[in-house]
Amino acid sequence: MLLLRRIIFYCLVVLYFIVCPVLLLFALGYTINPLTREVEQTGLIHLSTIPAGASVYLEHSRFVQKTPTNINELHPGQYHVTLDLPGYRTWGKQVAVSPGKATAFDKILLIPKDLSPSIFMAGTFRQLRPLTGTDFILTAQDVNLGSFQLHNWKTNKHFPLADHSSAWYGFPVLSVFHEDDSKVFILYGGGLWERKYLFVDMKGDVPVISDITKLFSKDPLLIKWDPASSNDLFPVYANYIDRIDVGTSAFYPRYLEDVKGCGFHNNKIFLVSNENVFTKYDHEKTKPESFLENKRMDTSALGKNVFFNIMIYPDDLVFLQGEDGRLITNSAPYQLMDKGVLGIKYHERSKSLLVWTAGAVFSAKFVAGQSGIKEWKFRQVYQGGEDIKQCFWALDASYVIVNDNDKIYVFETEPVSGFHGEALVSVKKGSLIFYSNETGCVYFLDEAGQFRKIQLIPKENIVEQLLNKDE
Amino acid sequence: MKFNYSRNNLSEKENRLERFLEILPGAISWFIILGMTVLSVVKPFIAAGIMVAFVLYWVFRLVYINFFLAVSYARLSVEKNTDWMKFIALVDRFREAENALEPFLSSEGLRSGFAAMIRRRQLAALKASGSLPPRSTDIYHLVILPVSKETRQVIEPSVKSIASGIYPAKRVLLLIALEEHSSQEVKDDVYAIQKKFQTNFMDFIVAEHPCDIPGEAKVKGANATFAGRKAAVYFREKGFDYNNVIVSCFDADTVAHAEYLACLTYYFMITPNRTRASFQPIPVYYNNLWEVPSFARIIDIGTSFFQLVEATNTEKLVTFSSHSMSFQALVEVGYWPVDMISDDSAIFWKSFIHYDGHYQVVPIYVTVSMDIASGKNAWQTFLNIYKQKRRWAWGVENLPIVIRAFLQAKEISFYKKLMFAIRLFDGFISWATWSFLLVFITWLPTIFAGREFATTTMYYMAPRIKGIIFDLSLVGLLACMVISFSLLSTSTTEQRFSQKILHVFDWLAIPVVILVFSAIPALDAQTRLMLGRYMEFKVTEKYRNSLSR
Repeated sequence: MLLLRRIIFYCLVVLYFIVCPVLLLFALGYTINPLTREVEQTGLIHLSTIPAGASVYLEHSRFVQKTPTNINELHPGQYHVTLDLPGYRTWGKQVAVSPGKATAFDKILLIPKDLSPSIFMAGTFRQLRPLTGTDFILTAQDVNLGSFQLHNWKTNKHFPLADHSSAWYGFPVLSVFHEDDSKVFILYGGGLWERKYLFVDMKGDVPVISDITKLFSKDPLLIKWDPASSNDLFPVYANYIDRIDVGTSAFYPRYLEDVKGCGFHNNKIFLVSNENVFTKYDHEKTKPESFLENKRMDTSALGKNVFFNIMIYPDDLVFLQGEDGRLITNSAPYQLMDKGVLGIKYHERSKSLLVWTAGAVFSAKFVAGQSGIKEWKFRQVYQGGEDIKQCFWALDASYVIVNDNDKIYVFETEPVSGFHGEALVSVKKGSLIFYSNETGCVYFLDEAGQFRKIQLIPKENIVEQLLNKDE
Repeated sequence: MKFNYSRNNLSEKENRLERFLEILPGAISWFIILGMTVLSVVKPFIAAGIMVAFVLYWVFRLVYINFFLAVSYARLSVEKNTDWMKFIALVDRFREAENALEPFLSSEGLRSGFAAMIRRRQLAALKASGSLPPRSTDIYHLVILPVSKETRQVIEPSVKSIASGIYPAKRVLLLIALEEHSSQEVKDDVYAIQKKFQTNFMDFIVAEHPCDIPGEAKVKGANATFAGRKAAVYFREKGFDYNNVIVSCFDADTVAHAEYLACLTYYFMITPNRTRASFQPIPVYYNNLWEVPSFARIIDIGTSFFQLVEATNTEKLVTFSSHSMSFQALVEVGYWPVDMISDDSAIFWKSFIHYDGHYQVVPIYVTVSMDIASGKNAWQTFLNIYKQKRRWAWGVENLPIVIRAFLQAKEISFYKKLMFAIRLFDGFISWATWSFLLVFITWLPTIFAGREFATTTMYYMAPRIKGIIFDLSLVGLLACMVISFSLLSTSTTEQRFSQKILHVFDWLAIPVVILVFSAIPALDAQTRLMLGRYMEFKVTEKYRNSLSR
């Protein structure tokens, strides 16, 4: 038995010292070129698609395995990769392969050939307004409040804002104020000499409308509030801000003065004064502290006579979006863009920032640069846009859905070789759209004004997406 | 070599060395686990490469282990129906006339052919050694059952298994080593058992071990040693030759196979240096197999498998749990350590050092069945199993003492010292680290991959290679399932076929079970030793639903 043990032991030892280096070299991409019979370091291409199961073509050869898969042992060079799944648009790209390197295409979103948007709610609508951060989309068939409806995209339930018996049925609505994640919104409208502010509370089963006009001293430039404390409204005027307590009907004139920018988050007020001092308070204006990472910031980037909307995100990130489109953050190098920014969205899990102007979309990551200091690294996702109105993160920040010039596009966030966008559908002129990461659907008004939705992400892939609600 | 096999009463220099060697296993295990974790984060590329090499090494070991598990199981099956009393008689005859055996070593059929081949080889080895076997009529057995908290339900089946075995119990001295501090109920049970079985044996003695003997710790070894000394007095008074007495030190719940003492006697007779040898049966855990949760079954069947594999490695075999040895050797080496928990393995090391490396463990292919640690409910069972495995893993306390002895022992060959030192380190380190590496750390390089690593072929190929290797390892799992089923099918447990089939699927939980009941207790024990938080012996609780045997 001992002899047998020794024989097998030494055989296995020898075998191990042969197999182990071979496996490690294989993992490093080394292989024997069958033509030259020389050892050569190869590269690989990783492909995974949503939905999975696409056939893979390398140049004109069909690869045996379907996505997700790795095509390994590829000699360095350029390859044309095509993915084909019945019922979906063909995906193709020229890919460079380097020795020992992997070129990864993770979560390639395959777009259905036939998008066939389904009717989400019958009827013809004039406008659509997503109430971002809530389960609702607001639509209107005409200007009167009686035609306004709330649609719960999660439950597919639809509620009229005011029925025939409501005193506000015929109330003409001119504009809507809403803060992300807030379950209230404010309607502004009425006759020329009788403008009103209606406070709509969606916290209950049915929306409750109350007239809060008397709490406004005059028409503000903006109305802002903290989603965590939606009874406290802050009408913004040039240089100062009032405070209104909707619950007690209390009015605090000129509650905050010398204001150049403001934001409200988690019961904190974030202010930039005309002297470019960054301060945050609680709602009672006590406990002031700076929210600037470095108090010696060169504030010239803030310019003069520019009002800033302050947006607060996790990880102590604060962004200031100027009314002229400049974008500033609270950490070095402070100024991210000097003009044209129309909107931003932060993706918490991937710590990525989406920024768009009328003509381009950028994604940015806060990463350590060559000096070791963290900085925002921008990457252009799309350029040549004509009138970009909205952008949404999709698929764990791998994709961006763009509403540009009344067309919906999907772009890869980190294109490996050139921009790769897919046009989806046209939407009603000037209309907004909504994308829900939880349903994987894009909601929009088609050119005829019909309220439709497209199932962009297959339902079976939605569970994975639910982990990333912050999109 | 005269050596103080203890961590107590050492010189300052020895004490420093002992302490260093106590720290070493835990420090190495933690270094491997934490080092690989940190490396996975800092240098995932290198960590991924190391993990590929490790997983391959692991699967090679698995192949090796599975092969010898199958061989050992086959040997157990071949030896199963052996009429050991017949072979004892044959060895007696061999003593008188060497050629008289041939007609009796029949080889009809594959199984008996193998058995005959084994017997022939054993007798040839005995002949070659020039050592004459003792007459079977000169051989006596001492069976020690240490009792502390065990109830009659646990002890009586053990006593009964010896009394009703095929070997004549009238040649057996049964000695219950009872702790003085045991409860009155336990004492009453023990004396009731003594009364009931007194006439079955040559003698049945109950030795009450005083709890205040200087230099002793609260360990089983102290109790067994006290009983051993009592037995020595008994044998001396009766005029027995210690060289012809075989001592079996069991646990209170050890139910010996009916053939156990006969098989042991045979192996004792045919082993050339029988007084320089311990005899290791295959431990199985059938007593309450179907009364415990599946995780408890799996881990202890795994222990049986481990011993089956170890049995094929006679060069490195160490005693474990219930075992037997020459009483002469036991007396010469000074009995079991009285201040160590792991008395079962410690007695081997003590003897090995005492006889300058001229001591061996002979595997005997017969089973002794014990209880699986259990509790009143699943949680108590979980805790008791964990504590028992930690106590087993506390066998690491032998490592510093053995290495210290090896450093001093000039008479023990360098090869043997190196072989056993590697065995000790490899055994304890792999016990504590492998599950962590396989279950968690192997995946960390991919999880913590930065952008740089994620663009290498290694990032994609390493998990794929490991996946294929893990798939291959399922063959080993399948082998364990089949052998487990076969082992249970041939066991005396009367359980439904469907229940045994269902048990086979318990094996699917083996990665988690091994991590929780093997790796973590081992790391726990090594950490305690590293920190100098020495463990005390705690009797493992064992509950029986009924007097099942």
